[in-house]
Amino acid sequence: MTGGLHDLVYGLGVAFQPINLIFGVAGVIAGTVIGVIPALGPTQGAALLLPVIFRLPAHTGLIFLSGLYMGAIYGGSVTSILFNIPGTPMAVASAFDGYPMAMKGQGARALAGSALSAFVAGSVCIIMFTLFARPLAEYALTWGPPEYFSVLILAYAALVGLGGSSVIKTVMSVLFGLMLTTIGTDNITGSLRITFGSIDLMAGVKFLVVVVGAFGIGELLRAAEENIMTRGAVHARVNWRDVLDALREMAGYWKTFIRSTLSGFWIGVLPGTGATPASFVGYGMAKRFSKHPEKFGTGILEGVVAPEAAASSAEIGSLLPMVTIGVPGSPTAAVIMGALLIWGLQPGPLLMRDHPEVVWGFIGSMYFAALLSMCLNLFAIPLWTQILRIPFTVQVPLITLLCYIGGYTENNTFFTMGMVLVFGLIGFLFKKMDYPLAPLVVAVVLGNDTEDALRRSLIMSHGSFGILFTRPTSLAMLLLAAILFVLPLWVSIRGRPQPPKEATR
Amino acid sequence: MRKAGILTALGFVAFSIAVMVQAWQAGMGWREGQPQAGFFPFWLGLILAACGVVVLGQGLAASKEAVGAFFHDRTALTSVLKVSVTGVVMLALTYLAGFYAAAIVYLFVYTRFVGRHRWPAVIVMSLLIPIGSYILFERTLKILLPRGIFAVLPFLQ
Repeated sequence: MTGGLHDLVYGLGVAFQPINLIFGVAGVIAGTVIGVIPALGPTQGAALLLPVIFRLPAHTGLIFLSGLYMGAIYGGSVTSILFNIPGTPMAVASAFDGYPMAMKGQGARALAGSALSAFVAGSVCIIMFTLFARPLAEYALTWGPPEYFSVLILAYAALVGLGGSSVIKTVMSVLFGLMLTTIGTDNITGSLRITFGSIDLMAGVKFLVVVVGAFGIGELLRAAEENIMTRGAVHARVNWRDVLDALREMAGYWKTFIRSTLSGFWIGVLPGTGATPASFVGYGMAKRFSKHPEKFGTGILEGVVAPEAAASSAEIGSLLPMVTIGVPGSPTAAVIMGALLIWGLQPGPLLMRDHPEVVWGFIGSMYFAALLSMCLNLFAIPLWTQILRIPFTVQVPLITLLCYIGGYTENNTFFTMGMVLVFGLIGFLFKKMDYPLAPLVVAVVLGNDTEDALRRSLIMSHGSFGILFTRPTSLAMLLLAAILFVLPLWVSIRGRPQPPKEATR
Repeated sequence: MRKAGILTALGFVAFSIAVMVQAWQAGMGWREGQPQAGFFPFWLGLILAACGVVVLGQGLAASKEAVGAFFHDRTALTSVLKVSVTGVVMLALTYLAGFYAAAIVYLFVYTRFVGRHRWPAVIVMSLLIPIGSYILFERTLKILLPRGIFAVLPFLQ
């Protein structure tokens, strides 16, 4: 155990060498810009910059990458909170309460809360990482497709009842999202399906197109309908008292914080899952355990703290299996692993023995990057909130163009650009008809993994669904999912009688 | 609103049936020791269709009173149309004349005729934003945005 801490101190020593400091700062700035642009997330950013990065020495390059990674996570939350356009998928849940807060003029508090909770959770997780790296990774490795499928079901169940939407409409939203991901090429057999005879659909419907359309264009349409342009820019004056206030208020959410951090870290460690499901589970749990769940979604700081802490924890957690065993825990971890391979370093136990300066320098730089992106971005909050002063009639064309570009970069086809508009209209319709959007987006992100996990489980069991219920970990996950699913139904039956949904609007 | 709810539910049912037909064509059974490609989408479609029917039933059973129109007034409708129609025109122009030329026209029209900003601001914005995105995407990130059928801005070709 003390050996682990000694390693971390060694890693911090590497990270604080001047050249590494400079590249760390550059990485954070580049990452923040990439995160703010909805079209680009940390995975794409890291992939785009790889040709530049691998000319640097390995540990310097990795420090740049971890800065990029942390900066992008923060940048994604900025657009998510201020515009309700999640710059990165893991920032979707931050918009649930962050955006209402921004609408109430508390954008600075939301941003401060998001940065602080991401940083504190990140720090806690880096220490956990150091202490529990090997045993945890070994246990996660014993999980097979059935356990993974059950975890995903748990992630979906956590979405039911979010934001007060009806259970059936949430389920429909999840199903619709899952079905969208089945369009195009089948991942396992490679055959084509559900293409409706269209060549363009063979490439499938990608997360980015759906999220940019539904959240970007859809939100613009909704804002236009509610006539935000007459109200002008959102009132966002920033002073340091807001930041201190956020910090003080956060101290009261320590329980939420611990739940999010632990669950986020654990979900991150699981191969394949990353920050996105973690953020939803974190948000869902905070709401479930809250004494006032109805306040979630109206713009409370706790609703920003929970997903941000979980996402940040999962980001650190997802690096754990990558570094210790060579199995990336998230897409971004996979890109970072790609970079390691370019440098001729094979992640795994041997790397930890032969190149400790790389592994621990990387861990140390993660910590340093978390600190740096928090500081840089706390100071930059006034800058980000200035964006809100831009009049609505300028925001509309700007955001529309960004959304189109985002859709285009997905596949470099005009077709995906048009799909952005289609999903914008679908997103607007969802909002109008009280279908929750978040489950749709989560399902689109996790759809391929869900199908793979289910089909691989069925292959293992020769077609019997029993395999999901006979393996203890999987059964436990499913039971937990069932509780999360039934709870909102139970509350609505036992508690206040609900008025018919149609009459609410 | 009631009508819109019913139509949305019908839309879900129609989409599910379309996917189920396609999934059935791709094969939704068991072959060579594993589920076929259409297996997952078929069952998803079946459940979604069932949910859609339930919502459809709820919509039909709901009383006709106490439900407003889809748009609460005319201004709301016009605002939504302004954003969506200009968005569609932007796409069509991109297809014809390429992204940058389209963006110039789109920004100009939107900021001047919808936003009613002053002329200098309009001209600065409709030139600076396309140039900025050219530098960012085309030069820095090496992402080539659509060129269009007609070369309106020949230096881009």
